[in-house]
Amino acid sequence: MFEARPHYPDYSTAPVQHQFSPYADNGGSVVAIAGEDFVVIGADTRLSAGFSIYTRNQNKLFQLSKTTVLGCSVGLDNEGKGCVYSYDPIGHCEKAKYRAGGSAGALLQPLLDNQIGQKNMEIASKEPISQEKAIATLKDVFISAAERDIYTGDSVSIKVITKDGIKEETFELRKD
Amino acid sequence: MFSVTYPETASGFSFENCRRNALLETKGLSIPKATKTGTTIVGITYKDGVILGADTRATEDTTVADKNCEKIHYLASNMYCCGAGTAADTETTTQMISSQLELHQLYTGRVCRVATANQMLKQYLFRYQGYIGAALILGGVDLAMAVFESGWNKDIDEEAGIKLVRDAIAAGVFNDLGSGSNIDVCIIRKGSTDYRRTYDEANKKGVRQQSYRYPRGTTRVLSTKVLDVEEVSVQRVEPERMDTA
Amino acid sequence: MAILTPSFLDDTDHARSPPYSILKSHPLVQKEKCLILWIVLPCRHNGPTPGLLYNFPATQIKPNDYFTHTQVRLITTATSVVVITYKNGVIMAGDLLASYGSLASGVQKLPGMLKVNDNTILGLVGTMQIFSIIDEECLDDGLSLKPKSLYCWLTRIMYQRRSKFDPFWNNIIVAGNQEGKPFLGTVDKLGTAYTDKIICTCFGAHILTPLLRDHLDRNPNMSLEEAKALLEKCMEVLYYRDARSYDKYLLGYIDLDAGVKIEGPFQIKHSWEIAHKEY
Repeated sequence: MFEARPHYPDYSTAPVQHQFSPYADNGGSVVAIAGEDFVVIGADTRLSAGFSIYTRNQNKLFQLSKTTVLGCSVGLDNEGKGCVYSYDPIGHCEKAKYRAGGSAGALLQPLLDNQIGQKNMEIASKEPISQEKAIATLKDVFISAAERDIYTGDSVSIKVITKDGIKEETFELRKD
Repeated sequence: MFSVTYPETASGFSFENCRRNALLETKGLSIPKATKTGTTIVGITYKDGVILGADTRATEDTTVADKNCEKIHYLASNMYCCGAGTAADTETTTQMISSQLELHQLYTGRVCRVATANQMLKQYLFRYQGYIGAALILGGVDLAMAVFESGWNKDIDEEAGIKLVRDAIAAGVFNDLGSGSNIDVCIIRKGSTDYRRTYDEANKKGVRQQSYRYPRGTTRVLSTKVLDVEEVSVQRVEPERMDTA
Repeated sequence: MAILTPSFLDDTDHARSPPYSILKSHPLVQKEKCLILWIVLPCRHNGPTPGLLYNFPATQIKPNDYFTHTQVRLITTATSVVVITYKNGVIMAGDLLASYGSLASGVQKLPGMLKVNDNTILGLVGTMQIFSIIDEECLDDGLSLKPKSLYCWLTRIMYQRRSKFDPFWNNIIVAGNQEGKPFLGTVDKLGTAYTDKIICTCFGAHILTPLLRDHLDRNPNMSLEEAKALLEKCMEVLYYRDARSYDKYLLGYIDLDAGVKIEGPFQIKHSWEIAHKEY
């Protein structure tokens, strides 16, 4: 029979056992958008644990080759077209045109579905997305994520991959 | 002949569902979590009174539920109170104490003493043995306490006191993920209070790069039906005054 | 930097560190005068060979066996270490208390702060077990390991041990002079690692990082004297608010010009006057 009795850890007499869990969630989000001949990928730079910020300037994008960046995996394919691959922790992989992952992934993916995938829109534009629009959208979705997800913030580092190489920029987000 | 006995109804919180919920949990049904606000709230005394401060973020797990909530609650004309913990509990607890204080004031014809409110809160919270998740007046202290530890003295004046409270809350806002957004400050002097809602807008939302207005026609129209409006009449009813005699 | 491949090692357990003597005598190491990545594990190492299933370590051990396996429980530990970069180097402060659970077991014999070589200091928090490994592997060996290399090596060790479900229960801070620039990095028991301008451990991480971040925003180019004064203030605040702290502390710093120094113990000036007054 269950007894609703408060638990007072300070007064317990049983030995305390520390269990080791090898996992930690350090938060952070990553978004990638592929266009006709380019890809933009952005990741925020906050590294956190629990309710603390470890550091405000953690790089989470890794350049694998001249035309590939790992965040999700992003790059230009053999035909020079932008492509995004995303992976889950046990190894499932999917190729996509746009993708949001990490702590704000669930918040941002539907937004990208609508804004980039033009889902549920009657008059969708036939034009492929321009580089300027992709970068602007990426910044805007990070602004929104920083508003609602406590693990996303500080700044976002953006890499734009084209056949000519990789351009980098950073964009400030709120710090709270 | 038969008699009916009515069960005695107690006022206040009821915890009879706790046992049921615990049983359900053992059967694998998880229980929804209450909104617990990771919060920074502070209070200091200064030369002429007290200054309270609070951030304005309410979180639900890792999502920000309210970006500009009020954590400094009114208790009486000479008293405010900061609340941290389960949002619903702090809100309800302060409201209950506030109404008790109002009644107390009407009954005694005097301004309530803070000690009265303090005693009422203590007795109230103790009866519930921690089941009411309200940490009132002071809580979430460690980040902010470092600021006080290095900046407070008993003769601090009002201006410096407000700045110190702001800095203490800012420490929480920028370094604790459960705290954020703006900073509220409340100054309580002898005979007057000064509640400065959004004293400092510590965080501004980023500026959007582009417009997200949908052009007309984006939403699919499934069917259309046109009705002619024949006659429109507007009738105005004067509100009745409440009988306060 | 020398990268040695598994073929070089005749030790069959590649996940273990190769004997240091072997590494030291390797021609590459001799030539480069430094070493770090000892090895990259083959992809399937310790994992299932094709056709077999991976035995998840957690399923083999009963929950109650964890702590006997990972030597936790009551162990003598050092606590808060506070480190900041200043204009011309990195400075570290740590108190001298060794705790045995909640018992203060006296002023510690093993320093929570140690000089590795002329351009690196380590801050060690937690169990002292890893001390012997660091001691064996890289103290006073004549090779001047650069701080970034040491940091990188420690992240690998810590991550490897956590992946074996047998972590070193430590926070390690590496501070040093990396080719004329201040370097400051940390790694914890899970292998979570980062570099920053401010690093605090334990209770200091909660109570002091806000103060230090604020200070560094306002004055990013502190002099050594300013940095020392700031850390003195920090140790005082910590002494007031951390129940596992002590009123004597060490200061260690790597100045880009003056080199490595560990000074102290210093006495914290404290006043409990306000605690005895009623307001």
